[in-house]
Amino acid sequence: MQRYLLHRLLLALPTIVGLTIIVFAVLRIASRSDPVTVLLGSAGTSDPQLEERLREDLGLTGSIPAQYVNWVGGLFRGDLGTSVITRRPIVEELPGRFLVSFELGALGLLIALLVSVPIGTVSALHQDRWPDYLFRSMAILSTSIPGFWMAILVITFGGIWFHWAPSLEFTSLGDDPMRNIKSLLLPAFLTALAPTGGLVRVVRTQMLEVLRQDYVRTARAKGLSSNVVTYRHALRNALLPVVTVIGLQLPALVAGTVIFERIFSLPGSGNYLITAVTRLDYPVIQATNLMFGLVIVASTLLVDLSYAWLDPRIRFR
Amino acid sequence: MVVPSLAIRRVWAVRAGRSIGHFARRKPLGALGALIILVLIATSLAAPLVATHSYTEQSLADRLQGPSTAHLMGTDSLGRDVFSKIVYGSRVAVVVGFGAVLVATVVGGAVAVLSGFFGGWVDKGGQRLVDVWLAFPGLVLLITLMGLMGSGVLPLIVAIGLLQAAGASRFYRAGVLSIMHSPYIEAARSVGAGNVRIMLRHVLPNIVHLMIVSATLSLGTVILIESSLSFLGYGVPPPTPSWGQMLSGEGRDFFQRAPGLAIWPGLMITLTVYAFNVLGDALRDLLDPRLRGAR
Repeated sequence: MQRYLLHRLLLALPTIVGLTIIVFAVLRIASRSDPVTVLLGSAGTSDPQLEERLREDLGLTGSIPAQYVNWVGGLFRGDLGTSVITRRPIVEELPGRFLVSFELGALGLLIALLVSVPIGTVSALHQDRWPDYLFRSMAILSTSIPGFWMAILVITFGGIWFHWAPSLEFTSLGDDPMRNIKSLLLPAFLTALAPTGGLVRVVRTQMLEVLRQDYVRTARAKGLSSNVVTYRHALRNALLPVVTVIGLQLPALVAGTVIFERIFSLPGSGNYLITAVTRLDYPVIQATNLMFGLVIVASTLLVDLSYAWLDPRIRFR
Repeated sequence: MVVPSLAIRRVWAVRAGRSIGHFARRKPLGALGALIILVLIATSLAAPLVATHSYTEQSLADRLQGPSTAHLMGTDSLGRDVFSKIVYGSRVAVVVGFGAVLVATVVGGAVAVLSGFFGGWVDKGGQRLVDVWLAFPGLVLLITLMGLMGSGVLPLIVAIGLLQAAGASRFYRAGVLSIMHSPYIEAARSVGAGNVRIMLRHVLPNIVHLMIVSATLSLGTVILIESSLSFLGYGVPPPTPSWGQMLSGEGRDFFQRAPGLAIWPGLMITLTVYAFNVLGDALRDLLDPRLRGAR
């Protein structure tokens, strides 16, 4: 187990280094025009002194390798740079915004799991009969519906039928936890939509696989009640691979949080990124991209480790 | 050139007809998906013939109308015909969808074949690169890329395609590895076939079925990504209509007065993605039974 843990941690290192290189490179390759010129142009000045300062703030002075070393060096010192728009250090702004996105994503994942595990189980227990067909079609449908469309329908028809509109105010977790969760509930349900479909299918397949195993037949043969067989013997073992699949659903989950933060004007990191991209706020774009990448790396690692911990075959190796 | 005789051609037609019939009987839902996709492609090709109006034609006197014989799906806030916008919008979905999937399949396939064929450090290095690529949440990177590159069809195709390539290459590589030890690869090598020949003539044809399945499934995903990007304002620039874009921007202020504006584009996206998903599932069941339900 310890060797496995160490091995996985070491493997994550080159990924993180690669991540910083790609984030850095993408920002310099993709931009069509010099951001300094664009920003100065929109401000209506061409003051050379201002240009010099802006270039420095954006982290665009010196050669490309020097820029990279400068940026990564800052990261080690806990310095993510300063937003050129708000003029505040990113280290102060990002954590609060990250918390909102994290809450939304975690709540979404929780809802997705609470819905998909029972549905997948019921589907498998009634294989190729009507509940199975119903849930399977719903699962395919839920992966086909764009989440933002669902959100628009809810807002539009909520307004028409109930004169309801999503609140524009946001209460942070620290101020009032109950109101905070309440304001995140609808976006979280919508975030859960896409991952739920995928998870239902996996739970169902795994259940079907396990139900065919010899030990399930043995458990039945020795006269255990069907509930005990289903939940103790089958479901427990079926859920093991589901842990891995949670890892595969993460990008969809993150994409969901970005979109719903936008629609419901939540002050999360997705909204932070979009605003930064529109205003060419390079330090913020770099920092948020890196953060999203690190979140995925860390959660993949966590998924792998928890899988190893749950599976005795790996745990006792 | 040898022209096949009429009899041979008739045999071919009968065979094709039979296998289509066979597919439709075994996988009715998949066949329905295929039908929807064919209609969609035909519509996007013949858009000027299908559309009843030009998608730029404004008529402020007719704004925000409900469905009528003149405007099948009503009109938007500038009096433009929604049905015609939907019809032309299918072009963006089809072009970006197939374009991006082509990029993903070619790039992903090349990485997978090279990686699986040579193994060793080529494989290790390539897979680490894929790891990093997969570590990015797609939409975040796409927003950054499109925001900096500027919107347009070609940037969309390249960006989404390269992003999908990473996942595709993982999938294909597993296929390549499973056939690398097959006797026919060894046989080809022992009769003196070169690396390139083995890769192109022996490895590639044996993972084509994987490519067809994954391309079909990823078409649904790509169209969903494209519509999300268009919705967020990073898709094809207006006035070219796309379904995602029809649901965004100032248009949203009028949804409560004309709910049709909110319904039609989303319905089209859902229908299209659903069609690709069920067709992909059906193809996977038929072409690769081992993967059934593995997604």
